[in-house]
Amino acid sequence: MFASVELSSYRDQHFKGSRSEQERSLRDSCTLYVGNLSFYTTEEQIHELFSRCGDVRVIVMGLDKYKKTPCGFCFVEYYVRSEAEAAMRFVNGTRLDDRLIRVDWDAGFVEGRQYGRGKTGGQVRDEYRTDYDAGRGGYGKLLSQKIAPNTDNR
Amino acid sequence: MGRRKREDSSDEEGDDCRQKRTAETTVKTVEQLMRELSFPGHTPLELKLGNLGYLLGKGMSVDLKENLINELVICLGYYPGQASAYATLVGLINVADFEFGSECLLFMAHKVGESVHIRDWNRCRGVVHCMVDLYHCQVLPSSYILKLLAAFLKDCEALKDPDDLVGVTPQIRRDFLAYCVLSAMPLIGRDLEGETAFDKLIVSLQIYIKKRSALHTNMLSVWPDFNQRDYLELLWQQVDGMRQNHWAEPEHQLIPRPYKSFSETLSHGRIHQLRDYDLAAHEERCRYPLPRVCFRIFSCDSVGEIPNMPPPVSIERHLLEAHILDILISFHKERKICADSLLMYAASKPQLPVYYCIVEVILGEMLRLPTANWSTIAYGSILVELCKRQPDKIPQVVAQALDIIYNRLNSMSVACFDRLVNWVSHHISNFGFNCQWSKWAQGLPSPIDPSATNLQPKVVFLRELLKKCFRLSYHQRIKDVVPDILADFLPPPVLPHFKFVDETLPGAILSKDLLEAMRSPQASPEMISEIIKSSTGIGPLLKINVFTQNCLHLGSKSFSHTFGILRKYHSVFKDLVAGDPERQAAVLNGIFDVWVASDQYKFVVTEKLVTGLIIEPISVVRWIFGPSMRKELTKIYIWELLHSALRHLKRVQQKIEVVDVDDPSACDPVVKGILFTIVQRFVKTLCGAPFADEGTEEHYWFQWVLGRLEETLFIYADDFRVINNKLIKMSEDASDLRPEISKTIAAFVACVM
Repeated sequence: MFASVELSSYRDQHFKGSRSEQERSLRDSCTLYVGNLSFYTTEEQIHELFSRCGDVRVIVMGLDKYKKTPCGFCFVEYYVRSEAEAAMRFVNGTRLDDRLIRVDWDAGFVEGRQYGRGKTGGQVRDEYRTDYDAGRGGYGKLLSQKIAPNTDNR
Repeated sequence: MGRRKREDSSDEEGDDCRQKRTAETTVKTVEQLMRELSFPGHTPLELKLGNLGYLLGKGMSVDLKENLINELVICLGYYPGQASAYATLVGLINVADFEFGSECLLFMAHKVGESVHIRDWNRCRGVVHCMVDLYHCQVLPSSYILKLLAAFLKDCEALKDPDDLVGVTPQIRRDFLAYCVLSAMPLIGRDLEGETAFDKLIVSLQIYIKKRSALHTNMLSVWPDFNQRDYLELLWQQVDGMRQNHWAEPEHQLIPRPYKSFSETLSHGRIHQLRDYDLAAHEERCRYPLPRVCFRIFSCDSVGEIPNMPPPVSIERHLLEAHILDILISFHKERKICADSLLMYAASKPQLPVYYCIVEVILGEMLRLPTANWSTIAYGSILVELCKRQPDKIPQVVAQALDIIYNRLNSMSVACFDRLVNWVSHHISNFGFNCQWSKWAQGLPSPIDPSATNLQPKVVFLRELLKKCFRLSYHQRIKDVVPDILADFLPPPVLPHFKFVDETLPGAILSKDLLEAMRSPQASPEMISEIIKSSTGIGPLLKINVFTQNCLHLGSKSFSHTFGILRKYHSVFKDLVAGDPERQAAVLNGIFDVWVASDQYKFVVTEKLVTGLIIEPISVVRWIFGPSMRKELTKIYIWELLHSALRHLKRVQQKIEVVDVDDPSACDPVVKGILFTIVQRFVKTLCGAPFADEGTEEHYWFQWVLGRLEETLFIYADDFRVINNKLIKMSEDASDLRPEISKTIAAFVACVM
């Protein structure tokens, strides 16, 4: 039976350390990764929702590498592990700004991880997205670029 | 175990490895199957039990027995609502291996006593119910069951000499023991009716219920004006109703009896004769569940007739609610499994309005006094899950519940208020912020007065709810869903107020100089410190105020910007404030000036400075109970701030020294000191309020703040227990001034200590 607080399959490919070190960090962590946020969701909203589970030490907003604007994810750190677990149990898969957000264990924020790793500056997932998402800048980047020349032609 | 090539191992060694792996697999399999007896799924319980019984009937290794016996008690603690299933399992084990059956029984009997001492009350009840059901499984004789239950009631019977024991055995212990017995009665009543020892138990219970104090009922009622019943008293009435009906089995198979499917097999078991049971006596360190009051919103007088709803005093109502609560106890940490279990339970009783009972039980647990067992969002996320799965049924029930609660706000205990507001805001944020806004607007006293001086409960509820919705969303979104009639209740946009743009104000010159310096790329803490120190003509308190307001003004774009500024100039704050109470108040003054329009910012920024060790928790206390905050005391954020500061203090003190959590007299003296100060400030603030006629602003204010005092006593009951002598003395002294205050403190002391 899969428990809400189990580790997911995601692993940070840029983690400095061995696989087992990352696993250990994940099991002891008080830090969560939060995904599928709208680009317009504010830090204040995130604070309000996540502080329902416990005292939040810090929130780091994920930013577009070039534009330095929010690009749909963040890190939330609690003072204690049990309160982070509560967020995994009760916030993961619920709505913020009418969007289902995803909450996952994170090995711990380090400087640089707040930036999108996609080619165009945002998250990788938005490079290839084929659906239209008004909260995340419209179509995926690849598709947007294909559409643009047609617009020019027209 | 390292891998070894097959060719290199001898046959004997290979066999040994295979046997070990098989044994290990069997142990894990059995453990999992035992837990799965309680998990929701489409496999009938009887089939699961049959499979497990078959597996065990093939023979049990020593390892398997050891693990099984421990797993049994673990399961009874996690899944007390499934005691009958585990009793059936023990019955099947007993048929397969009489000696092992005996070991199980002795282990369970031992664990009953241990459970009381380690405060695992669910396990205690689970084991008791399991042992009672073992009578039905042909494992235990009725004589043993009767002695077990009598041992539990021994302390209750001692009331015949009240002067001897009443001071030694707390009522909450006797209540808990009586509850274990009373809740077991429906399982066994029909079989034991007519036995002298059983009738004696009934008489003991009846006398105990009649004699015990129920003074806590008013204090623990969510709605004191709505005649909420003491839980144990109501349970007696429900069980007695069944007794008067000759213990007729309740309809709809509300008492699970899975062992009936195995009657033939179980009849081959041999009954065990155990020595008499003795429950360990009360010790100073022991703790017991607090008394509780039945939460009731769905009854004839509140919503009219709900088809087939069992009456509140019926045993059916109790059994429904107890089963739902047991599901919550087992699965509250896994909201999807919890929702699955609840919905399967509802589906198994199609003639009963189980959805109403589910919503009622969840809300009752969430709003429970003195405190809920779990966080508000735990209950809230289960309700969201249920609404998603049954969108055409459960949301309507939740809406009905909300209407009832809304219409009872005038009577609702303030100690439940924050939980209610937090729950509603979170719930509707998952459903587009849609709810019965217009209906609630119509329920307001007319003419509708949205002014800040209107402290009527419904008005404050709507105002605070809208603020919370704002925090979870944004201004335009909420404006779009709220009807025009409530437009004046909306909080203002979250914008900072920076008064030093007015250059005629004292401090404006310094503010301007600081702004220019702080905006320059070369700004450094040393530079800023120098500017502040070298400015003349204004005192240190105003300097601190100006500096604070400048920081917040510059950082007002977001929390991160604010925190970044505070972090950058942390050393400047440290130098300026230097632990001085007046200077800390000057910082707070600055925060509350700039962020007058945002409760969230006031709370979060202050919290950040508390955790950043600029502002001490005691300064927060002084500020909250100071004159400038008087009108704010009816708002939620003030109490969020107070409790956050106390949590910070506890975290700090826990790092400094180790406190024995099991020692009832242990409580950090720093925490004790500040808690006592808080109560003193409450009393002083309340005593300073003028006497006011009912229905006036002043009267409402007094009720809100008195309720916050009660809430604070509730939240820190464990800490206050250590200083109850001081509280008693305070309530006696305070009786010279305002009876409501001394009554609140005295009621708390009587209820919780």
